[in-house]
Amino acid sequence: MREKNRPEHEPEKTKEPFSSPATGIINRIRSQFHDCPDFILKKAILSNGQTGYYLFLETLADPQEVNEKLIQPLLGPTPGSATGLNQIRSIATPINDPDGDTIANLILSGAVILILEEGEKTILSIRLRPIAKSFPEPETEKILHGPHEGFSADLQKNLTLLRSKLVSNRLKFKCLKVGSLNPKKIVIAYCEGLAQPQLLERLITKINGLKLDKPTGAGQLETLIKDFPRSLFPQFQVTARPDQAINSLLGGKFLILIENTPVTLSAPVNFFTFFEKPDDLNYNWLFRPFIRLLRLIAAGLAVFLPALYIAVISFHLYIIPVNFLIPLAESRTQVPFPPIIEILFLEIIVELLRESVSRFASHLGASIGIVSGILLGLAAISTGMVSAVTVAVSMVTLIASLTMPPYDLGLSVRILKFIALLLASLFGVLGLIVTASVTFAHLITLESLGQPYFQPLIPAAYDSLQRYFPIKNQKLVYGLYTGLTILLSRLPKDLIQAVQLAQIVNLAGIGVFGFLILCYLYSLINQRGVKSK
Amino acid sequence: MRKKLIVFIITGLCSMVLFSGCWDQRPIDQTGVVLQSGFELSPEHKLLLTITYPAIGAKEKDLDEIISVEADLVRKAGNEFKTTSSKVLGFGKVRHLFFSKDLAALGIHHIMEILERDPLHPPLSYVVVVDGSPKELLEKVETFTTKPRSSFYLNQLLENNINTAYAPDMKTYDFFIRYFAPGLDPITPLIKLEADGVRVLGSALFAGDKMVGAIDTQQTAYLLAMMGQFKNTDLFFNPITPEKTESLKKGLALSNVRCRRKIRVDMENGRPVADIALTFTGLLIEYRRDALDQPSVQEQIEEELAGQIKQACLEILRYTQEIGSDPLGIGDLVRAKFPAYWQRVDWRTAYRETTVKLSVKLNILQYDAIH
Repeated sequence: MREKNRPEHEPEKTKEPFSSPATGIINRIRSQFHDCPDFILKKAILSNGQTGYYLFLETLADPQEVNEKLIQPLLGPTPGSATGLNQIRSIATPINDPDGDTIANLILSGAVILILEEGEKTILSIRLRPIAKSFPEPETEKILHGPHEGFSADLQKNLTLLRSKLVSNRLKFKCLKVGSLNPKKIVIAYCEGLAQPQLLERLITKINGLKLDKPTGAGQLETLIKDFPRSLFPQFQVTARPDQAINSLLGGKFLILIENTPVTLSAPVNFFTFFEKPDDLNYNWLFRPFIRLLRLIAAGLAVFLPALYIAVISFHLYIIPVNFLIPLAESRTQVPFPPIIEILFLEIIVELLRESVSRFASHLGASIGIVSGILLGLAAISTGMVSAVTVAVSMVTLIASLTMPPYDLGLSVRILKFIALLLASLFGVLGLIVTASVTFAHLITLESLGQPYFQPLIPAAYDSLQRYFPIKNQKLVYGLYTGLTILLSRLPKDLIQAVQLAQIVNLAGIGVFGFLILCYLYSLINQRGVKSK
Repeated sequence: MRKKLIVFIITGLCSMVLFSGCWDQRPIDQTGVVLQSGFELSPEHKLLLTITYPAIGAKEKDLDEIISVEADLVRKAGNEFKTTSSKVLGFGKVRHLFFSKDLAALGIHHIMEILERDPLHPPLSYVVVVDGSPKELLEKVETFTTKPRSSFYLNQLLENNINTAYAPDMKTYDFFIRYFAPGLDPITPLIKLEADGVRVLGSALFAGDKMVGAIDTQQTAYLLAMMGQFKNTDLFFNPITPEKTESLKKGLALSNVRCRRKIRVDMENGRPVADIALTFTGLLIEYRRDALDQPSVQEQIEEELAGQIKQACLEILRYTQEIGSDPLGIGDLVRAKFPAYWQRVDWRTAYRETTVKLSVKLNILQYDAIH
């Protein structure tokens, strides 16, 4: 009786034939909804002997309601009665010009399609009450404009949310199961035609290859399937916001939804996606880059400000302007500890405060945070445990790190901050530079689902060059060119022709570098620097 | 990949251990940051060095600690300071180097070279000549209760005067460039302690590293104009005829004066001739006279004032030639353009006989409301 596309990602079995006049249109719609496990096709032999086909999405129309209101009346106890059908006809809209796309769109908007096989085809579209579900906004990610909605722990609800927000039959779901003792359903959502199929294969292979007793949540899954498991940096973006998730889907990314988990993972990501918020596009063109730049600066401050402060006041005090030097030195005279102890003390208190506040109820947490922050700060300064400037530095760091969500990148930043701090206290600004360069080196080699992590910036120029300036063996050519320039510039100056030649080569060099920069800018603007693997 | 990263981190750490010897930890609260140094001759004809640094953590606020030491060597004095100072002295933030006039007349390069070789010593500190004793000046300035900390007070004083072209902008690095360039001489601000403050007298002119003369603030402005380092300033002039005789006020004032300079050196009859062309622009802001809106009157004023400027400039040039100081760098141009001639003569004597042709043009842009 009931026929449903099975969720497992096995080859389509849905091509079994329907030998009736409606077959053509049904098969057409069915092919449009392949890989949509929520698409339901029901066949019913009605009480008057007719065959009816019900087509709908179970994420948008409640199957139980469909059964009660649309199927049961037609299977009613009095055979041959047309009252049930008439009742349905009274609330339905007939479709006179049946066309696969119209019907698909109706289904996507939440309608139930009933196809009756009489002498001629009758196609009815019936709208039921939309599934009313509440989606409270997540506490951890807030935005100003944009919808205040969030994912919940119910997987079905989350799929409903995605379907109702992204009205397209290109939105596909792949259902997987993970775990042997307590299996959990995992759904990979993606947009067909936007997401790269090879990456889907890769993701499915990774998830299927997991040997787990009991999967606990998104974070664990991420740790297990990411390419660089020991890296500090997140290779999946965690979000509990449907608008962010839909942005990711439309950007060709994969969304992983996990049963009983209110957050989703999306991949592939690059470093800069962590600084974009879904409602950024609501702002003015000038404000948008400004706010993103501000977030990048905040990340830099959150990692390097305490380290820079330590490096400067214990090694490089001559870079401080004289006007600031004297108050700074005055503020440190009462403090008995070396700067590193002082700032570690404060940073650890701040981290403790964060941890404790996140475990409290939100209304309590705020007041506890304020009271302990103010009291502790005042007490620490007045007893001379820390200097006022150190407190200011710590607080700026805290505020900067609060611009990032408390998970993914926020965590990496907190750890990196301590590494930079310790190295800076030992080696001064050199320690800071080494931390920064090692981090940067790590970031540009990192990959998320096989895609470069520093995507629009790092592999960009090289690839554009390949495209616009196709030379085989580029390294050799550039090496020879550099060698030639150096050789020519070493020639004696009175060989006037040689000097002129060198000048020409120099000019050409400037041209090449200008071209490189142009390529670079072009690929940055187009964001097409990276070819898919 | 990971192996590479580990190797990279280990190399980084090791290299930091190696490099860390280059710079020791210098906690800010244990360092006495020297802001000013004074050099002069003691009565026993030894070097008398004075330094000031902010007294951090003192019982009273906003005080400087001043230490004076008599020594034969600059380095020795540096060591002597340690015996009286409670802090580790750091010389990386020195803002002014004061030299007494007597010492400057004897030559200051033997002191400056110590600073030149010290990588910590900031090349951006001002070189200043004091008419009197730097020690006395620094000690006295400390007692002025209506003025900020001495280093801030003197710094603001110098910078304001430099910005209005009343004193030359002479930092340590500049001094060295001018000292080592064969045809170019240094010129430094000249200040003097007075009863209620410090006064900028003008400039001290050097020949090599020896001070050989001094000019006042207005002359400094003209000299800077000829050097091509003129800043936006005010200039004042003697009365020109016909002036309203009943007025108390005499003379003219120009504000927002700017200057462009062109200089070229040629050889005429085997001797170098410097050709300097100055073009001033400015606003006339104080003058009593009728019919200022008439072009003929305006032209006359411009011509007369240009004449006054030219005369003042020629006087300064004559003076510099007399004392043998070449702050304009005519020698530098000759050396670049006529190397054969340069090698043949001794520039110090040739400079005295060099002809300098000067043409001055003044454009008054606006004849303001005149009172």
